[in-house]
Parts: sequence; C-alpha cells; structure tokens
Amino acid sequence: MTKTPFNTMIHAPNRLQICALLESTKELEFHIIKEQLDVSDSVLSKHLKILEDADYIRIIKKTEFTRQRTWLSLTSLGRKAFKSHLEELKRIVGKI
Amino acid sequence: MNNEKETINKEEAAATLKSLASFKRDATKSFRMPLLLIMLISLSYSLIIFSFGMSEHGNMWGLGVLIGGAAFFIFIAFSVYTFRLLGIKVSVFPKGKKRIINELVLAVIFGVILIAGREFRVLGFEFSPHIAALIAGGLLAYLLYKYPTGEYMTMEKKND
Repeated sequence: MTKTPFNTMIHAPNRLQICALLESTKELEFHIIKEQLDVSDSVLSKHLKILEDADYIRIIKKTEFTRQRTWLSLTSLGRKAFKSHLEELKRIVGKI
Repeated sequence: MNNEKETINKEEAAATLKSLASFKRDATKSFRMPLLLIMLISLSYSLIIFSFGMSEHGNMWGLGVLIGGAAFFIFIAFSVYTFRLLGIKVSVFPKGKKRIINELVLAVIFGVILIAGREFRVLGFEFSPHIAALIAGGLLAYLLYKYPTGEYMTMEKKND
C-alpha cells in the first residue's frame, strides 16, 4: 500500500493554521498562536500535543526576564509534512 | 492513522487553501514592523547606497556609509529584539530552496543597485546615487511592509 501524502493529522483546521504560522517564523510563543487562532488554552494545548507527538513541532519552555515562556517551532519533519500536504491540496484542486 | 480519510474533494481542498491563505495574510499583518521602524530602516539603507555612490578618494561620504550601516544594523537589531519580546522569533536565514533562491535574487538586485549608483556617477550621471538610493530604500520599505515574514513568492495572491 503506497503512503498517501494527504495528511489527516495536519489537515485539521486548527493544526493547519498552527503549521502555517510556524512555517513563517523561527519560533512563536504560545500566546501569539492562541491569539491568531482565537481558541482557548486547552484547545490549543490539545492540538499542540498531537503535533508534538507526531514530531512535527518542538515545544520549549524557558524562563526569560523572570517570566515562563513557551516557544513553539516546526521541526524539519513538520515542515516537510506541511509542505507535502499543501502540495497535495493543490494537486487535488488541479493547480499542479 | 494518517490514512483514515485519504483525500478530500476538489471543492473542499480549494476552500481549505483559500481559508489558509486568508488566515496567513491576516496573521502576517500582525508580524509587520511599525511604519516608523520600516521608514528608519529604509532611510538608513538609502543612506548607505547614496553615500557609497557619492564616495571618492578624499571626500567624507565614506563616513556616510559607516553611519548608515551602523544605523541600519541598530534598527534591525531593535526590531528583532522587539519582536522577541512580543513572542516572535524571526528567521534570519531562509528555510527551503525556494526561499533561499528568492533571497539570493533580492541580494543580487540590491547589489546591482548599489554598484550601478556609483558606476553611473563615475560615467557622468550625477544623480545616479540619488536614484539608486530612492529605488533601494523604496524597494526595501515595500518588502518590509508587504512581506514581513519574507514569504513574497510562496504566498498565493489568488486562490480561485
């Protein structure tokens, strides 16, 4: 059975948006993604856990300027997976 | 687990792409630098281009290059630091072949403007440093405003 490039894990709307945001930058803080997605902490945490378990994102917690900050970034596997999924969507639409 | 629903239909895929592009466009706006900072960065860069075009042995325009360069790097460092405080770490080096090629093309364009400004002045066109500074500063301001995350080629303009 050949592996399909359509990634159901990434395709969930919130996770797709998370990957799209992280693709544009090196790292983003948790609250930035939360603001952009307009979801609660628990909803976002759930999606991030799924992506982290798949090794698509990296979550780093640091204390900076006496404040606990949670930084998120796409792994190279995550970037590839996101890019492949976008290409698959474009292929379905007929753009490539 | 990834193969639960292997694909979607064309309309759903198109709607997804359109929604994602719209989301990214809105998100990108929040990653944009303040206009004042964009102007300061562009002006300092214009000063570099202009000063380089005007510099000769025995004149002080070399100092303009140094001042422009220092100001440029200070403003860039300030913007990177500010973004970091806000929770955004920008990519200094582009990722992906397409982005790297795009950045190289831009580097060549800016390099050509820098050299052309000076070389045309040597050939007798007195205002070439002025024009080069205007073009380079304007182009940089445009890129910083329109594409703050650097995704000027990869974002789709039309999704239909």
